[in-house]
Amino acid sequence: VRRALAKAGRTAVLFGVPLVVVAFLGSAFASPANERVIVNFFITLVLALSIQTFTGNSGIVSFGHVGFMGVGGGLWAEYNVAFGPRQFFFSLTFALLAVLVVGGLGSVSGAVIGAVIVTAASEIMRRLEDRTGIGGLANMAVALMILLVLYRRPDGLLGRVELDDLLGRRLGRWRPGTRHEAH
Amino acid sequence: VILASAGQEAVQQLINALSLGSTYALLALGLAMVFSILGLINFAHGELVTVAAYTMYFEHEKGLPFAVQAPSAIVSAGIAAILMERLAFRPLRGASFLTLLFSSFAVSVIIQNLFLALVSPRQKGVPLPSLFNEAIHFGAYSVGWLQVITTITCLGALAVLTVFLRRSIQGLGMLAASQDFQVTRLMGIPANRVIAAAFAISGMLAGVAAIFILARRGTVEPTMGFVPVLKAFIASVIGGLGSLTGAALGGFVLAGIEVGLDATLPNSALPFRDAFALLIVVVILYARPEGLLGRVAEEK
Repeated sequence: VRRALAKAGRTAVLFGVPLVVVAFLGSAFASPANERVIVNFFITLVLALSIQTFTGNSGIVSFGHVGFMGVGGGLWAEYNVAFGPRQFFFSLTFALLAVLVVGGLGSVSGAVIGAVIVTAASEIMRRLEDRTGIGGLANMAVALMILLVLYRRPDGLLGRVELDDLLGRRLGRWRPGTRHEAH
Repeated sequence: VILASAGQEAVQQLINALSLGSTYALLALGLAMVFSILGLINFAHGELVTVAAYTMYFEHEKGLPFAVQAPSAIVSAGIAAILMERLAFRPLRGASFLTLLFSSFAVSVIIQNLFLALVSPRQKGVPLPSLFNEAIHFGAYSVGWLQVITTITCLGALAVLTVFLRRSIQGLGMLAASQDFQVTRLMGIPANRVIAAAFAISGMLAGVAAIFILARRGTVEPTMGFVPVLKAFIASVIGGLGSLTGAALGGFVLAGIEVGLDATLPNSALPFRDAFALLIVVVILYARPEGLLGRVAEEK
């Protein structure tokens, strides 16, 4: 248990710091569009992590879970002001699915990387949609990404690897315990 | 459990339930056929309905008559299903249940958005022969042609499918594959052909259903396949996932529940019809967790 806690703590520091930096940068360069991107990013990330936790403990991937969202739901409500019972279902489930597939269900780093990639890709495509006037490009791109990842790396880009394990391995004995867990 | 005051209304509700049920049954059969062989719940099944409906829309724009539209809708859905299998599911053969589920979800989104980008996100009207709006009168009874034609065609399709499955070698191979795919392969039935045939048939069934779904709603729209396939999925769960007869039966049971509720619920409760229907489904599944005709779950 202690080892797991230590690992979780390390992971939290490793990702927490950059995320907080991103959040501050985001609010520094605040424009409605950037704000939306960053809020979406955090919502999908939090939800992806909560689904991972749920899956890790029960072996069930439950998207019905989205209906019960706590922190992510709070963020959403805060940001969108008004919301109704149907709002979450499709678009959010799809974004989450993409995050979990692309990053992998197996690791926290996966969820973070997945959220970064999916948010970035769909945001770029959304700009393209606005410019060309053709709808549906963002969803199509994300769906293609899901398919490609499923073909090439069915466990997601990271699989069960945590980034800090990778770093730890690079840095040798810098963090005791890392090597221990690498087996 | 239809509490109709007059006999006429009862007959009407019965034919409504039959026509709705036969549409659900066709879709549920397509789902069950692919599921029983591949273990894949094909979320993109609804998009086959969409493909068929849009085929009719394009041909209508070109001025082709209904007699051309209907068969080509069926064919196009069949071709779309085969392509779907080739491009999206064959590369993933043997992958886990979740992987297949996710990929079918992605396929569904891609097809929906293709129509959205290439045609229009808005609904487009497709007028159908005026016959579909007329009613037949037998003395005191009057029944809509649409309901009658739907029921007859769908029951006909079910009959053809049954004969195909029971009488032809290809069909028997598929029936066997739906019960135990590994053993069937050991008996020398080629896997790829069985799977391609299952997809083709499920696509054509979806095409038939699409004609009547379109006739009922009168418009095409990129997301039109979602609700029907959700209903079909519920139907195949009621009937027992993996059982073909069960899927068809489940379609009729679900439609019976929905039409019965439509007839008996007070107006103020009608918006919640689906919630009530699902409640009944939950009760059924409590009583028979493996579905009405499902096999008791065994370790595979």
